[in-house]
Amino acid sequence: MTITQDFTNLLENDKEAELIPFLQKLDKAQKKELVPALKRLFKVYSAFSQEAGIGSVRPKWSNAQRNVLGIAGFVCHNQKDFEQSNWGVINKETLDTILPWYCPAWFSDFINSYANQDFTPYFLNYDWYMELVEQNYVIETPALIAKILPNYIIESKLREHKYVPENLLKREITLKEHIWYIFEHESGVNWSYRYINLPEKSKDGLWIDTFKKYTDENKIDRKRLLKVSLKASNNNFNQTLSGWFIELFIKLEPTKAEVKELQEALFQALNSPHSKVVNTSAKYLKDLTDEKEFLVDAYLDYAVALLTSESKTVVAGALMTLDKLAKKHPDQREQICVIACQAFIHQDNSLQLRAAKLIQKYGHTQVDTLKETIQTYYDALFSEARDILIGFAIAFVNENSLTEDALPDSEASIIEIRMPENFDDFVFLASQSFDQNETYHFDLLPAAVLKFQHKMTADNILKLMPAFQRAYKIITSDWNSTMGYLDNMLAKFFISYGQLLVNFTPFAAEPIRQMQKTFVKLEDDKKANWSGYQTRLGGIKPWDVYTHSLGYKPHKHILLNAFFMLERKINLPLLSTPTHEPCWVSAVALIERLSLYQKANVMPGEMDLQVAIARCLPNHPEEALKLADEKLTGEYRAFMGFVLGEDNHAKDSYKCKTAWLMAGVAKSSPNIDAEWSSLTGLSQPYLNGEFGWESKVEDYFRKEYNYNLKEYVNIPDKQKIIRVNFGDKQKKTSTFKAVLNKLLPGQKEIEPSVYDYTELKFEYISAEHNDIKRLLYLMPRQPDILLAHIINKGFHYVDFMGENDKRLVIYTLETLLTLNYRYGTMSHLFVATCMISSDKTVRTYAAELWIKGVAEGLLDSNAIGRIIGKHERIELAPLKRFTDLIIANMFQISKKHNSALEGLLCHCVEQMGDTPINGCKKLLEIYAEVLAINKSKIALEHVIALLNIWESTESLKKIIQKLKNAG
Amino acid sequence: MSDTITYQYNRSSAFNKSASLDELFLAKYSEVQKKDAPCFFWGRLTDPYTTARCLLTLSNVVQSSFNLSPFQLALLKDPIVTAGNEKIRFEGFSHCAGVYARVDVLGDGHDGEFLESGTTNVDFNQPMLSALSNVRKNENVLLSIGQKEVGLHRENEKVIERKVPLPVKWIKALTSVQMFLSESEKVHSFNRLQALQLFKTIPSGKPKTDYYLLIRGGKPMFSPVKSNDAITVGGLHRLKLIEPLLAIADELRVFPHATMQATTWQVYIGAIRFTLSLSRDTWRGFSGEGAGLESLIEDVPDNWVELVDNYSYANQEFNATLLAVNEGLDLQKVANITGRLSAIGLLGYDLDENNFFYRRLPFKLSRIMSLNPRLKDAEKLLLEGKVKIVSRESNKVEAQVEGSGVKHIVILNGDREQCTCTWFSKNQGERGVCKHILAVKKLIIN
Repeated sequence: MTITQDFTNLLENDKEAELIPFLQKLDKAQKKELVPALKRLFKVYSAFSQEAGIGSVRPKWSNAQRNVLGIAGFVCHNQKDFEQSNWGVINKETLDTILPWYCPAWFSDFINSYANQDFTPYFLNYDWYMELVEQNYVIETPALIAKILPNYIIESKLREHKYVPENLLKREITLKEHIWYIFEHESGVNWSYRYINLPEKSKDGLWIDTFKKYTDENKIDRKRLLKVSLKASNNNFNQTLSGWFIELFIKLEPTKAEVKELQEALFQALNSPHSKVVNTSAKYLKDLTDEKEFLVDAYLDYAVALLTSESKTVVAGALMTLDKLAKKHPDQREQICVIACQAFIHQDNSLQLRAAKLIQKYGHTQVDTLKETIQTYYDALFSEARDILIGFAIAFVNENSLTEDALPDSEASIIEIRMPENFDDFVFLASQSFDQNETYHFDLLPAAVLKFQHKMTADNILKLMPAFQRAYKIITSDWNSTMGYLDNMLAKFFISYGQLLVNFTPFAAEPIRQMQKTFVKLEDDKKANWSGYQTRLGGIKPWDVYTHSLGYKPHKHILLNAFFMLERKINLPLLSTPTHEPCWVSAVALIERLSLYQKANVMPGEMDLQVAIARCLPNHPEEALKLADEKLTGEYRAFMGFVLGEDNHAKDSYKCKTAWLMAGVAKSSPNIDAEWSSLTGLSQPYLNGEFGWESKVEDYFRKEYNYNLKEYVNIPDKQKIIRVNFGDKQKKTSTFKAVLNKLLPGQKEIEPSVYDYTELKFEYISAEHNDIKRLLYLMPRQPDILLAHIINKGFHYVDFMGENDKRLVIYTLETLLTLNYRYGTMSHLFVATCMISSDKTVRTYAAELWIKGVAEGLLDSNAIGRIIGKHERIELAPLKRFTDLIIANMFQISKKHNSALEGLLCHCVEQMGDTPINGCKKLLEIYAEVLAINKSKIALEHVIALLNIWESTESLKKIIQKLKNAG
Repeated sequence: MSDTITYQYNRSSAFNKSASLDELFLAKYSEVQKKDAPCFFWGRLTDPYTTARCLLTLSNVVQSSFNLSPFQLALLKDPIVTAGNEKIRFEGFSHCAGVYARVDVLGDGHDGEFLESGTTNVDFNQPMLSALSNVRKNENVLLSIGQKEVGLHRENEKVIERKVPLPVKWIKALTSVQMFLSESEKVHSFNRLQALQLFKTIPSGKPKTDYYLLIRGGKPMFSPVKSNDAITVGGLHRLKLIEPLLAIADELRVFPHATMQATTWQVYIGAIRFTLSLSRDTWRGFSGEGAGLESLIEDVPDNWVELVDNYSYANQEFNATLLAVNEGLDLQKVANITGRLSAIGLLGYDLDENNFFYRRLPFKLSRIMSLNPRLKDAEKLLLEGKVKIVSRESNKVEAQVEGSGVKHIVILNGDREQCTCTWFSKNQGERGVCKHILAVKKLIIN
């Protein structure tokens, strides 16, 4: 029998006891011979399979067989092969039976390789590792010791754990050398015991306690420990580990004399990227300022880093220290003043004031360097600091001030959309239409299909096949994160058109038929494999979203309108296809399109016309009116004239009532005239988007798992919410009138308009955020109704619950920035609520909308202030979000904006309660600063009265005095 | 080609402290070393504190990853250094290949001798980095890249080997980023205050939307709102990598790419310059952008590489015309030579000097050439005869390329290139052309 056969026999028959004598007999060549068989057997025995009758999945081997393979591998393999088949053989118990007679050359490298792994294997502990080192099987590696030593002060048996710091005394070398490795190599000393519960001891700080214990007992050199812990905190380790080392330093409570000796290390620690390390070092250094050994030059070198710190305490501390140093060292005052200027980067009045006072005290107005430095920072200063530093002014006009970026001018920068001119353009449009590269691709595709419907030759259809394939894939594949329901709707429209082509020109459209067949088969296969599978293929006609939301109806109606014309081979364009970005239809184009319908004597689609009017851009009115005179007659001429500024009115005989409604709304929003609301069944407040709303604290029940009862229980709790009350959607009609309407002949029901369909319906947001832009572009001049829905859904829990609802709000903000309309109640509520949102991107967008709205006179800044004031009455969100936003994005934009900001702040304070909320001081500071800049005073009596009440709060006294004296 | 790269260092890099003079020794290794060059540079650093801060920032870039790939994160890739022409440049990429960083120690930043010029990997190990963290201001530090005296190396000392899976993305990104740099122009220059103000406007967390650098109320700021001419930055949080340098910076310059596909941020601190380039978004590494693809449509003759190698030395400005004249190359054929040479790892780009410089990546050319799957796919399409030119007029080419289940239409019309495939439909050419367009172009050219 060969070696391999012997081994296989031994393995198959579970003869574990015979393994070691067998392996001991093998020479080098025989071991090598066994390797291929070992690899093969390992593969066979380690393969997982389902155990008959049980249903659980497990490998083929028994425990004994696994050991046999593992041990044989340890003896025969090289390191690489062993690593690939190592299964539980590396442990003290097993290796004690092998190492005395055989230790592979690679064993030391193998064990030490764990130093570079992200994890420490459970079998490797300090005791055993040291035994291996002591028996010369393994060469000692500091990095690995640093990794395994932290676990050495706990002994664990099953779930019992015991704190045994005395383990560190077992070997002399442990405290003498090994303990220091922890400070040089990355280890888990900071989190080793996170998951262990010790009955008699708090698990926090076990290692810190251990260090303290042995330094107190003089078993660890305290001086060295202080030095290395400080150094380790700045060793480029991760944040928590660095933080742990500085914590150890603090807990060791260094004396002033000790700190003095560690000055240099403390200075270096100021370089650390971790704030805890920097802040702690700065604190210790500050305490040394009065000492004569204090290294002044070194401090001045590092002061810049401290003054730019995010922590206000650190900056204030540094300024205090600089003040002391300037007092003590007159020769360095100039340098100190220049350094102190760094504090001006903080948009914080008290810090700026402190720095300015220091400069005023020690700086010379004749020193050029100082004047130049102050000059650089001047634009960033608050008025108080500015006033103090007036003597240092060269000429307070910043010549290098940066050129401003203008906001896109919505009227001037209007960009024309290119409609496909030839079939090739159409092909490339079709293949990207379902990606929403542009929102208007949704409109462009059906328009292009209509335009090229008469060019569907076999060759051209072939060119469209990649687009058809994309459409099929969009419908049948899994949803992706950028897809909206509208993309699915558009894809279904396109494949429906494909089927129409198969009917019209079976020969030319054969590839489409084949493709349909392929995808139908794929869908059938999926259905056969998965009983719950819902077949996804289907046309545009039965399309619906699972929520059955009405919000998607207008888009569907327009696509059905296009499909209707394709079915009948009607060669007319859609009216609502945008001609200019992002959604506008130029008046000239609309007149041209309408004239085609008039000429053909075809009634346009109801929804298509409504959306076209809603999107109509009345630019170049004179030219457009001239064209309307030439090309339109009757009702079309009348309402286009109205759109373009003429004083026309809807007559009873007119057929397109909803088109008149859209034109009327577009023109008079947000205060829609009663004349127009008579053209709809919607109530006037609803049409105006004038909904009631409130931000309030609501009682509710929170579900919490009760471990004793082993079930979820309802816990009463409170939550802060915003709710919009939509009121009555439809006009109230008396029963008598309703009956009369039914009985009287010729009474036509009012057609539903886009606004009847406006809705955002979901319990959990799925893909609606990817549609929101396109939904908003249905009503670009009166988005308030949809915004009310967005507020109710997007701010359901004030702070976002997930990424999708955040995106819903961000995409809405993005869309609003591209529109020019007068803000109604809901638009103000939306923007104001976004200003205190938990997401900075959302807040910044809201600020940009405010900047744009103020510049163009489209919004009421005071109304924004009132809403935020109402929200903050119940502290709906931390006020800091809002004050930070003002400083960063809304302050000092222009004179006009400063004036609007003043109104905003005044009305915000007006709405607050008698008890000042957290963060009020900062708000009032900003208000005072804005008043100072505007050379203005508090405009509302109620605000003065409120401030008088607030004045009883000690911390607000000073700022309120300042406010009252403003102007 | 092996899928593992083995760094072999004679000893570890180390920061050796002594009473009078500290030494930063950087161990080096190159796969393509032409001759035995034990030491590239040996001399004093004039501003060791700044150099140390910049190298630490570089190591932070190299260790960072901005998309989730824990497996890749575990592998440290060593930065490369190019020494020569009075400059020392350290370069590296984040794991995700979306952030490029370079430290340039310019002429005044060092006082020493360039014993050899060339490019090499350098060992960046944890103990050395820890020591770097503690370099003080006004300290005397000697830098040596490679060992000056072989004697220092003890005979029985073990070669330090670190095997890592071939960092395909990393190497590919090194060849691609130069294209983006060469198409970038300076737009803003900020002083320290403005730079610090600007960085204060970076939102916390990982913003998922694009941000735009714009000027409002006389202050630079980042805003999610696009305005005219604002600079687009995707994955803005990545910029925080250079935040620690700002407190000591003299100036920050911003160089956006012509079509906003990347932004480059250069921090100037005395004679040291730190460059950070961000890709278009966190999930888009420079490696996958296909920037160099078009340059590789034509084969690069082997003798060119040799010629350029002979003609240039490290960090030397690269002048294509001069090369053509001196080496008697046909200028027609040299068209776009810079693009082609940087795509195979022979050139870097210096934004301040506005020129390419020679630096040969320390990886085998065969490795670099094997890194462009899209080009390989295009070649496969040609090989399988799946590309058919339908019509060819003076300025317009229409072709059919067989895809899976359909025939894609490719139209090249002047500068406009279009395809009906999903890749093109989604990206509209922003991330380099698709394999179908590449195949058609290759067919036409060859």
